[in-house]
Amino acid sequence: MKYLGAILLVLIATLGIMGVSYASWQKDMVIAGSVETGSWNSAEYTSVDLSGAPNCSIESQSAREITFRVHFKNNNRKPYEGSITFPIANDGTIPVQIDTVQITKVGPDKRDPSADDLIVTAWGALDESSHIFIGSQCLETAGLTLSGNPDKDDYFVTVSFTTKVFNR
Amino acid sequence: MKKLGLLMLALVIAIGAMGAGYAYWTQTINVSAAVQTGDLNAIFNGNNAVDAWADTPDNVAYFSTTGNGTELLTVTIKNAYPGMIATIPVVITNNGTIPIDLIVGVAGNMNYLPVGSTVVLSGTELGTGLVQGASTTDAKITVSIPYVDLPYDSKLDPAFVELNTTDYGFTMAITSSQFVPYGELP
Repeated sequence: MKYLGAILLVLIATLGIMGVSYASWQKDMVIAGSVETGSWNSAEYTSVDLSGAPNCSIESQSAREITFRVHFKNNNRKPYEGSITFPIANDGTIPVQIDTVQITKVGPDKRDPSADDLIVTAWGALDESSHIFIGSQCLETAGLTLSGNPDKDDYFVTVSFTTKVFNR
Repeated sequence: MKKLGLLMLALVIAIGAMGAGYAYWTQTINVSAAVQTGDLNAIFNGNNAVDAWADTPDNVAYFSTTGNGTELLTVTIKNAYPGMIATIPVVITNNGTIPIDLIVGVAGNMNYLPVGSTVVLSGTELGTGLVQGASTTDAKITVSIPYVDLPYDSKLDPAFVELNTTDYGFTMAITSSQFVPYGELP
């Protein structure tokens, strides 16, 4: 029993030395990462170009909704053709995509005019719901094409959209 | 008795001479050997790139790395967003003399990373061994953050607040060890 303690002590010391020897053949490396999120500002209308749409003016405008007024009365009752261009920009850095697009038409009688009176077609970024805005002042061209054979006075056209985070 | 003394003297001289002769034919030579171990030294190498985001449709988000020539690689990803998959090259060079293998740990300390996020290091050529001066060729870190279907109108949603204000972090340990070919004893 006298030597048992000494033997165990030597055994422990030996195993310890083995551990040190083993560890010396390994080396640790570390990857440290940081992830900073971007900013989400959705997308908004920027400038509006009405040069291609005669007798058309902006009735009201907000970030994602514009209402146009078309003065058919001044068109001498001729078939109407017009094109409005309005780029949409994403000021944030998080890519967004168009989620929904809504176009409403209101005639002089406060009702939705018939297709014969006024046809409104969205094009560019508003043409399909999956369009992507990639951020950082990215501009995507969009617009409306107006056509018809109106027989009344003013018509109001409102176009609005919503966005959501880009889904890969 | 006088002859006996001479005889004993001759015998002693003869035995002494035999000893001298035996010693002459058994010369001892010594071999001195010195064993000096090599060094095990793996470092990150060629990671000082600042590059555009390679795996997204834009150049808005980007990454940078520092730590070339050291054992600590710092990766910074900026302008991250839900649904991102960032692929960042990692080059590890065997700067020592002992062939090494790389053991990749699981990413830890994933501070504030959204549930479902992953950080994976792949392509470290585990099991093939890197000899002196050799580097990994396909190693990369892939950081994925899950997509969150969040309309812009929900700006007050806690998920949105977290999305816009929180910075994330992670660490990953890599152990370089002596390369032992599979199937062979060390």
